[in-house]
Amino acid sequence: MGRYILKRLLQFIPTVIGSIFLLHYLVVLGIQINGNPARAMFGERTPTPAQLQALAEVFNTSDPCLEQTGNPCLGLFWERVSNLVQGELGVNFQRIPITELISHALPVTLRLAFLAFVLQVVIGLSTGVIAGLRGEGVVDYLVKVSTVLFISVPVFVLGRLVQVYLGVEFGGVFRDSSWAPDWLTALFGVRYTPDHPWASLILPAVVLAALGLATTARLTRTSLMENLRADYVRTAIAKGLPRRRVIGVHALRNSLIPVITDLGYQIGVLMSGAVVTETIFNIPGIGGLVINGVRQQDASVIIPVVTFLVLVYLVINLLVDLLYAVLDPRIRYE
Amino acid sequence: MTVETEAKKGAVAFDPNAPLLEVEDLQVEFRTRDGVAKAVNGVTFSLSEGETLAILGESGSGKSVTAQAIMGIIDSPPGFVTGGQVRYRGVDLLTLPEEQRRRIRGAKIAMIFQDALSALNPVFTVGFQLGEMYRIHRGTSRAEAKRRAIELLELVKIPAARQRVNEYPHQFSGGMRQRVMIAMALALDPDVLIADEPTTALDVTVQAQIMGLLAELQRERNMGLILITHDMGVVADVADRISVMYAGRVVERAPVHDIYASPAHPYTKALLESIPRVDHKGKRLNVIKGLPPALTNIPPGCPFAPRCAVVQQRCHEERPPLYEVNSERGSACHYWEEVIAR
Ligand SMILES: Nc1ncnc2c1ncn2[C@@H]1O[C@H](COP(=O)(O)OP(=O)(O)OP(=O)(O)O)[C@@H](O)[C@H]1O
Ligand SMILES: [Mg+2]
Repeated sequence: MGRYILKRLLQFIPTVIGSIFLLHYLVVLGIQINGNPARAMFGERTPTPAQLQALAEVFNTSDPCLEQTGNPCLGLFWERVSNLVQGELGVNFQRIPITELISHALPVTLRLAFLAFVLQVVIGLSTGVIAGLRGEGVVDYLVKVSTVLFISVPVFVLGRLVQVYLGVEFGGVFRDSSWAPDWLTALFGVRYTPDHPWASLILPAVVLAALGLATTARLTRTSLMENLRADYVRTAIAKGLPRRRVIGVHALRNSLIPVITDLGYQIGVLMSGAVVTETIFNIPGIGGLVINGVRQQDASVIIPVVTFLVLVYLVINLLVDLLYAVLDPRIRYE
Repeated sequence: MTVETEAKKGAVAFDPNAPLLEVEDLQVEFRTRDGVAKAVNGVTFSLSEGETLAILGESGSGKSVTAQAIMGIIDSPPGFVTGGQVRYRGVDLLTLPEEQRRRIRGAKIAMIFQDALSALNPVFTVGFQLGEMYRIHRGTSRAEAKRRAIELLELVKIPAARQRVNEYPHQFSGGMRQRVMIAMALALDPDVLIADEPTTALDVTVQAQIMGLLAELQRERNMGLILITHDMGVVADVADRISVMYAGRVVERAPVHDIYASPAHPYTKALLESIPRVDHKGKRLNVIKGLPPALTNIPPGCPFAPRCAVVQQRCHEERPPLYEVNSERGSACHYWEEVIAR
């Protein structure tokens, strides 16, 4: 077990370096094609070459390789990697330390992802179990339809719809009223309000959770139905166990193995979904950070933040694989 | 007096002097998309203490469904018991409410399944699954249940029971797993044990060990044993009586020695001729030609008529009842007298 974990951790290194290189190369190509972002800082004014050079030094975009389209700028790449390894994340174009940006944005994203995850687990699991136990019926039908619906409607479309109908139209009722408490107004708000760090994240969390929720419900349903037909369930009944126990302990314990594993991987999906959701609802989280970085071609933001997301994803995947071995005794890692 | 009745309220009044198990005119059907499959059509038999009844028949003849109906574990829907009685100590189990039925399952009447690997839950230890019998039926503590589980493993002769109790089913060999199943079935000292092809999934040497163990435990505990199989060879060694099933019916019932000496139904005769025998080495085996009837559409006459070697016109028109051959034997063939004489 220890050796397996160590092996997996070592495998992180090439994956992380590989993704840093990919990010680096995309940013470099962007600069080579679109021109130096330092120039954009001057707006309409034409900078003197000296001014431009000075700013480019600060932005770390002065390397001459950035003028040669297609050049991977390996020197710059190793500089970045060694800085990251030493934990020196640097500053963004506005000279705010990246660590500070992350420490402000991360709690917001974590709250959003947590809310979405809770929704996904509670609603996804319970509807899945009900659909699985009842077989064909209303709940089952709803689960099937919603899965197809949420898989085929992109997050940003769903997000906009929710924002317009629940946020603008329905939420307007509360904003215009004298009786509605603040949190209710915040709950059906159009955007994130720092005064209500939880309530104003609920709608975005619903949007973020929608796809995963439907998938979880469907997977739970299928898995439970399959396990209810299993031989060991028949044995459990033949042992004279009460139905509650047959389903709740024997069938469910097995049915949840694929569901829990999938939920783990879905955390990764939630992180990337958060980028889109945060943009729609104007939430100052990690996603907002990445999008702003991309807009400004600010490599000093994009690379550390996305690398951080990659690491989170890798660690979660490892944890899920370990959890899988705990849940299913037939799996043992060598 | 009143106190006693209060205490027994909700408990079923079994008559200790009534016969152990009587199945009478049992009918089971499966209502599926393809129609109604009549899997069991009026099965009757009885079982007493210490006795082994073998139920024999081709695949699909309704042996497992009969067993499931006795246990009350038929998959419903699509399966429904549509008639008959299953009397345990004089009480018709089919009329009992589910909760009382559940208490009998595993405690008074227990069952062993064919494939022990899939019949045991893969994610719980063997000790947990054995201990559950005591914890749920008797309210025993976890620690005590585990101690009992170890005793059970020792009872079925699993070596190093103290360690193995913490292992998972996949860590056991096929024979050892079937021993675990037997241990589980015997946990609460049932009066009736139903073994549905307990050795089919095992290789031949292990088969003999498992059958030996079953027979030994049955003798010790004076249990009634219903042994379901389609292997006539196994039956000869352990069974006292045999019921042969065909298309959901008992077509012949007899003490084991009689049936081998002189079968009274052409189907039984054909089954016997299909066993490979040492003294017939070199000769071709007689397999029964044709297929059993579709259970959704059983023909009006004798269901075996289309495959029967001695079929007459009457067989296609009139369904034979289970004729009494003598007080211990019956045959559902119009011409049993001719069959038995040959
Ligand atoms: N769950 C079910 N759904 C639908 N039909 C069923 C079901 N279980 C059994 N049957 C029907 O009952 C018939 C008898 O099945 P059963 O399992 O009793 O046969 P068997 O005699 O035990 O055969 P085998 O020797 O293969 O175990 C089957 O052919 C099938 O048509
Ligand atoms: Mg069977």
